[in-house]
Amino acid sequence: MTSNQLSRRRFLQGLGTATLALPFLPSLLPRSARATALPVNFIGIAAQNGLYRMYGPNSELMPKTPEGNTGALPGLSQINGQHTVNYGSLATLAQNSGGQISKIVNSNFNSLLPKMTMLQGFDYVGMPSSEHHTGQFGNWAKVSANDSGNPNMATLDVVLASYYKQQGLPSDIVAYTAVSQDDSLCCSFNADGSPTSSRFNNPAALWDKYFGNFTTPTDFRSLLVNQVYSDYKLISGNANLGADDRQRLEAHMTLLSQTQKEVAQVAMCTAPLRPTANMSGASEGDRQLILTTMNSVIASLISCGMCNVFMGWAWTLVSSDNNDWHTWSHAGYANDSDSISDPTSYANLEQHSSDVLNTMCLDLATKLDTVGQLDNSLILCLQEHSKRGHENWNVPAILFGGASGAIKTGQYIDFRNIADRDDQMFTRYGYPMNQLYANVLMAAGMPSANFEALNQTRTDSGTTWPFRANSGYGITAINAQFNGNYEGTLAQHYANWTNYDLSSWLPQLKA
Amino acid sequence: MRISMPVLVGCLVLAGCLGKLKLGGSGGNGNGASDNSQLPGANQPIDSRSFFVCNTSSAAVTPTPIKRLSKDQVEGSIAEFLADLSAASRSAVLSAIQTRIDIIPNDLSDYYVQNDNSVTQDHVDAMFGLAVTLSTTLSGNAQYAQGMLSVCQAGATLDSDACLTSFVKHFGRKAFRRPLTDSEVSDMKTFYESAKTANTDAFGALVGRLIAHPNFYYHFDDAGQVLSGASGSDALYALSRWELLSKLTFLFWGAPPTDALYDQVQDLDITTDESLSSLVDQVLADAKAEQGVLQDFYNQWLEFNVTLRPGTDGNPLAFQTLLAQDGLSSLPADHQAAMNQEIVDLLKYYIFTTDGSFADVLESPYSFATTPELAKIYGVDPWDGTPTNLVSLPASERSGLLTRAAFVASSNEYTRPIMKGKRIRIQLLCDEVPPPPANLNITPLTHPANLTTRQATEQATADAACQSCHSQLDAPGFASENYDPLGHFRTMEARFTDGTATIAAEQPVDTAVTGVLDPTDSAQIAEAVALSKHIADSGRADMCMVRNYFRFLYGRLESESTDGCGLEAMREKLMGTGSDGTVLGPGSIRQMFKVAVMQPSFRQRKVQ
Repeated sequence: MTSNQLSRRRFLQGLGTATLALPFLPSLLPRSARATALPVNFIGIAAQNGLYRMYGPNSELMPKTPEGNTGALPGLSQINGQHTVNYGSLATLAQNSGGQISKIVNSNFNSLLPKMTMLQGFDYVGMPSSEHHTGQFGNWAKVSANDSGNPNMATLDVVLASYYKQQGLPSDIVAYTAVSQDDSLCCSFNADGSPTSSRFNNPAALWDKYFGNFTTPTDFRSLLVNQVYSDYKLISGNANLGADDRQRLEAHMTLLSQTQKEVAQVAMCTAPLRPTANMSGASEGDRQLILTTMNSVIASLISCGMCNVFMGWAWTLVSSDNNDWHTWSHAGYANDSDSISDPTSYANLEQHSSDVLNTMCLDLATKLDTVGQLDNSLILCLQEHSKRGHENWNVPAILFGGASGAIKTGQYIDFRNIADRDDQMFTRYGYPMNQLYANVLMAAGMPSANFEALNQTRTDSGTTWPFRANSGYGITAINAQFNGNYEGTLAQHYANWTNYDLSSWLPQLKA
Repeated sequence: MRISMPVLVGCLVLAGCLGKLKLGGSGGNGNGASDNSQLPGANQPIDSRSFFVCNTSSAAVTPTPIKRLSKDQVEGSIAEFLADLSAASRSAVLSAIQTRIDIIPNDLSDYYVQNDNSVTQDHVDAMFGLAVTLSTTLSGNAQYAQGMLSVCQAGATLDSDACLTSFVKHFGRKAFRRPLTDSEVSDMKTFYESAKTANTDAFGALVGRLIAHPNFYYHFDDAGQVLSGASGSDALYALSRWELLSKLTFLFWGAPPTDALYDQVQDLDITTDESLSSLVDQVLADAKAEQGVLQDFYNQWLEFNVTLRPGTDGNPLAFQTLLAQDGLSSLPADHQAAMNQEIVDLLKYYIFTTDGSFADVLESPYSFATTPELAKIYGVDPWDGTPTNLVSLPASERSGLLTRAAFVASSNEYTRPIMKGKRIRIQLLCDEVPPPPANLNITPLTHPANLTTRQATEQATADAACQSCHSQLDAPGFASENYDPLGHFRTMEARFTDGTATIAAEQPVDTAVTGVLDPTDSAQIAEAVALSKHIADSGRADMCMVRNYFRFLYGRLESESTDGCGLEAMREKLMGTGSDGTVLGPGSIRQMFKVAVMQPSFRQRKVQ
């Protein structure tokens, strides 16, 4: 590869106005046209907080739904599940709501509505009842309130990458944020609770990892990597080393042999131009540019088949202080009276939520769609709270992409039990988050037995276990905190879900 | 009445805590138990029975595997590799490869991050990518390449055998941290020629090979004399002078040796006690030692990174009220960094300027606050950074390490005594506090106007089961309740009306505590200044520092049976007392560092 070839190419830089030029590659073909199964691209995006009008009659995120107390929501269709589940077409809901779904999911999303799925009403049944960020994607031990009752578990990205590895597919994980100060705060964890190691907040660094060697003649890299392997081999034969030393060097050589393969593989894909290296995260605009540029690199990585699993999050967007959203959440909105207590805080929080959805989710989905990869992908934008303070149930999830046809897109599905409560003083309950986790993994082709084998159990007493043992993914016991106080009604809600299979498909979700 | 949302303080029913709080055995960077030792008696002169036991019959060098460079050490090594370039060129090259450095996974370890010895695919890929990018950056710029060739005669290129030989020897020594053998020089030259023949970037290939070479990434420490055992199985090697040299500089500088040090050691056998001692003095006298000592060790041990930034949580209007007493409306963005820098400067003064002891640090009467805002909080003028212009703290209000804003500040309008106490208990005293039980029901700590934070905390943890641990955990934190969340000295605590700037009530603070060292410690401690002195007098923090420095050195928990002699030697230097308690001289942190690297376990490696 020469630099001349690179200079003829235009690299996407954020706003979607540029084009991405890539050579003809198998990965650019629709999934169905591929000779062999390729992995579903999974991108998890964690949004913090909640605590604004996210659903219900005055919703500013999900489709507006009139109140009801009979189980059925006016204007939506119903399907029987554990309780009545409401659903409808996103296109129709947008049409009936002034041409857009909501204030945040505005007309900018309209062209992608057929490839989106908006889901309301997932309960983190095993999380503690306070702050839940960092735990959104399956490691509930890692919530900010430090719930020691939940053992560490691998997050969805790690589970999926591990499965892909077993299948002989690319198994890298890329975790990313806009600024380094956010790095440690979320959401990609190994089974032992350690954070995954491949973390980025500079798109140029991500580019360098996968495309950096494009600037170097292939023979140079091959020459070098082969020589380095020989050097390791020579040293591992040093008679002075102990057995443990040799074992370590041999492990290093095994990894290096993979590098050798990747050096050869990279040569098969044409790199986009390298993003500007010295992006700063000083302003809100800077942070958005970092994330949209990151999206461009991600789209290229997916197109080149280099990486299929990503985990992104942004605490720091509207403010340079990644804790500000927390203050806004508590100050802005009073759910119990459905009133806005502090308009400035509320507006900031709303902006934060909108930025996450637009900058991280919509922008990436658009870029993947542009290169023909959205249909093969599943972007899961997952919230932390419901609209009432510190309640970790009834949270929304927004999906982009159909996971190679596994997900029925273009729908709004409302999993709340409308017949119980009113979403104010006592917000409604829905379906366990564990089932959504399981469905995501199943959509990517992972057999339920594989992820169920990874499940662990809460270690404390007082928990309840209504579901089929070990089904779904994650900790499927009702946290003991939800017994014995008003939150105990969560346990009551699930009391009649005996032996419910959390590894089954959620009503209406499967294509 | 406000509820502290981010600070959930509940009844920390620490299972089995009563009578089982493990004292002095495991520190903040350790999560296991060590086989030591009872505490010094409370409120008594230091009890020599509590010191480490040196049993020469069981002392041994613990087998250790080869060790890789940490991420920071890689970065430092690359910087040193480029030392022949002009400052501008070096800066430009480092900037060009920064993202390659960033890609290297961050180090994690239970015992200080530079001891992370894991190697994953990301490590291997990143190191190879770094070598590729560095070499092509250098070879692709005539100015950089010329700078690298400054080791040759003017105008010479690598096509000259003499220049190629000089180049390989010079940069090979930097990469391998020792002179290359003749056969290694020959091998490198042959590689260069073969790359040329292959019509590729031979200069880049040669540089890339040096950086990607296992001798760059790993410390093998097997080139010295075999002291016992058999090579390849259980040999005990004395480190060669080169291995010892780089081990020292990575320890104290976080970076490899300089060319000048290599030249010096070429003609000096630093494996002898005398020459090693002299070299350690030299290395510690270098300004780079501030990195290895202050940033790498103390920053992790005392957890500067958990210092809270005032005003980022809770009731912002109440925070404004607290700030208004300084005539300020906000704190600068770098205030948190300024609080931490004060600790760094304090340590720097006592370690490098005065050769002081850790007790001096614990009881320091000087302010090292350099920013106007922090100085104002202390009620003093900013320090100008000059050791001869030290600024005294108000003696009746503040002195010692534990009274600094970095140790007492809170992010919201109320203090966090449990967290303060926990930091002292675990980090500074090396006590092992069991984690809360799995069935802990965390309830938010409320802040009624008629109670102080201490009283509210005591009420929340009043249950006997809670008290079994909290009575020990919280006491050190209560002692510093005479500092507000910003670090102001106070005698009355402002209690705020929720969500407003209004002070609903002011309550007198109570800082009197007992049992700060252990349950039998009957000493009546009046407040944080007395607490600092009490801890200093007890020797507990010294013992903890020795343990932590050991863990920092070796990346593992200490074993008193095999490591006791080294630990006790370190303690003697740090405290200035012999194993029988006799005074040997003034204690010295620097002397402790020095004796630590004189130990066999540092100067030898046993393989397995």
